[in-house]
Amino acid sequence: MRTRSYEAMFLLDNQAAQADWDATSGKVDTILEKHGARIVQKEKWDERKLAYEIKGQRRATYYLVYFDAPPASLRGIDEDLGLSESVLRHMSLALDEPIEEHVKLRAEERERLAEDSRRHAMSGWGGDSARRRKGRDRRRDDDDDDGRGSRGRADEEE
Amino acid sequence: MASSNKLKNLRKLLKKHQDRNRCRFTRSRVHHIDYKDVATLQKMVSQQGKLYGRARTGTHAHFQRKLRRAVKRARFLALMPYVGR
Repeated sequence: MRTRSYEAMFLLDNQAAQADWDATSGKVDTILEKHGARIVQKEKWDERKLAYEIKGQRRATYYLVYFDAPPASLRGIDEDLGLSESVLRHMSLALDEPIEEHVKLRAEERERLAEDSRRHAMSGWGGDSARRRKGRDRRRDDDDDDGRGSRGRADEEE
Repeated sequence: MASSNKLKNLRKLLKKHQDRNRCRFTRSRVHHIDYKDVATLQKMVSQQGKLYGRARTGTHAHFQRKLRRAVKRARFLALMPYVGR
């Protein structure tokens, strides 16, 4: 059967993911494989705070999977994932290139963008980013002062 | 002589300024904008999470469209807020 490459991100319920990662991510894998997908690469992407609550959850574990599947199977996969309790949300995207190439290219591009913004922050023309860094340093200095201050007070109490 | 030096400096400043205001995606020679690269997306939105216009960021039209799509994907996956901070 003709297949296409896909990238999918799953937001997994933190309680389930932390209790038993293999079982929780395995559930997702089983759904994918049941519909004829061949998983090429999978990764626990991050455990992070959500920008807004989803199903009453403030945090979630992000699970990133790259797989090959027949295009017609995506509908069934979406339906099954929607019924799954431990998947808060998911999104799958069709890729234009083969998976390995896609992952490699995106990583290189991400690095170039990061390098570019670092250079700009250094140039002094980085405007807000340079100013923000200065502000942050000042705040950190203040924190240090507080630290010393409280230690000083603690000494007095002793 | 002095005035020509001044002019040179001005040109230099202008060049620097222009370079800074050019499209960061063109400058970095990327072809796609990844919704997972939250650090980059965060620079293109306001405190409230609204996407900045091209006039402000200098982003080329081609990349502004990709950027819009990436931000919307990031919002759907709760990587970025739809509204507010």
